[in-house]
Amino acid sequence: MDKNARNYFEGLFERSSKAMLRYAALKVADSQAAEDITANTFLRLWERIRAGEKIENPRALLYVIAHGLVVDHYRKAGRQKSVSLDLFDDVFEGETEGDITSAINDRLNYAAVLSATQKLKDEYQEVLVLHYVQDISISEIAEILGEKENNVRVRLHRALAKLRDVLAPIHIS
Amino acid sequence: MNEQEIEQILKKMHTLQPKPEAFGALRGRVFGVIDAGARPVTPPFWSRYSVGAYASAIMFILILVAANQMPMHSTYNRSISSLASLEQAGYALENGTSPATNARNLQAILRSTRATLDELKLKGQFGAYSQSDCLHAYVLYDSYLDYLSGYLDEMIPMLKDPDSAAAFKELQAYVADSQTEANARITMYSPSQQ
Repeated sequence: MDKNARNYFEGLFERSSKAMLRYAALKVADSQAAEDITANTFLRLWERIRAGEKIENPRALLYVIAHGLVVDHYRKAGRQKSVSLDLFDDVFEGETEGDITSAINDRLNYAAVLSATQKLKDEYQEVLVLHYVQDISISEIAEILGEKENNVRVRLHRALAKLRDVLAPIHIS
Repeated sequence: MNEQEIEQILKKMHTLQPKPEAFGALRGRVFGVIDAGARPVTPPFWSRYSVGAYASAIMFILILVAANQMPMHSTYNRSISSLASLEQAGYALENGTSPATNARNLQAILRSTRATLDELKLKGQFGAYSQSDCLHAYVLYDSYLDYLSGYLDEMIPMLKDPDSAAAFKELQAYVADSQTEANARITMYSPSQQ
């Protein structure tokens, strides 16, 4: 095994794995499937690094691979899953700040927004999660999706409007 | 909710941090495969459940069987409580801080479960349980052993600590031996053998 390739991959894993696990967990709303998708995402990246492929933007490639695996997951599962509050206990650490009531309210809000997001078309879901939750710039999202920046901006705007329509009857707690 | 509130909630989700154990499991899995030089594989369906959760499902089925089909004999109750211990030991095996100790504890509980189930055979011969009840119990027990065996096959290559690896391998050998015995019992209780 090439030690440099291994060190390079390990650095990428340390920097990106938590974000990728969060992305997968919020996209598929299932802790085990999220672990499968994240592990396979990194293993596919590793195969390409090991094969000596030159990778310009590894983070963008990780999202491309992970998104493909998420799509496969839903194709096999046949339907979108509902978002359970257990997801947050299974995968994520509890809140360290604030009181327990606000922590519970946060989780209820997350579940409501995620459930509503899953009712949108995949192209809308993807830009919302990448931009707001994963904190990725419009230009990098354009690179991940292979689209023009302007298209991504328009899509993000439409996605937010559609999400607002779905969530309009819900009052924030 | 309005757009601003939605944006705020989505942005706050960025602060969600995976639990150390979820991250640790991911790390172990990725580097376990890389260090073994293997290609990525999709785990078999049974590995989607934890050792403890699987035992818990079997225990639930056994309780249903006991409640609906069988008189509550003490041996059967003890089988159930052994499986409850298996459930706890299964969770400890995966989530505890001392893998070697947890593997040894699980092996001790497996021995006790095996001895308790063995009593089913004796009592079956004296009429306290029907052959099909005994068959049912052994099929469930065997499915747990199958699962555990798959879990150990996957875990052992990832263990770096020699003491843990030795304890897991010993447990693996015991599970293999128990599977052989359970399969013999299943054959014995199968209707075609009656």
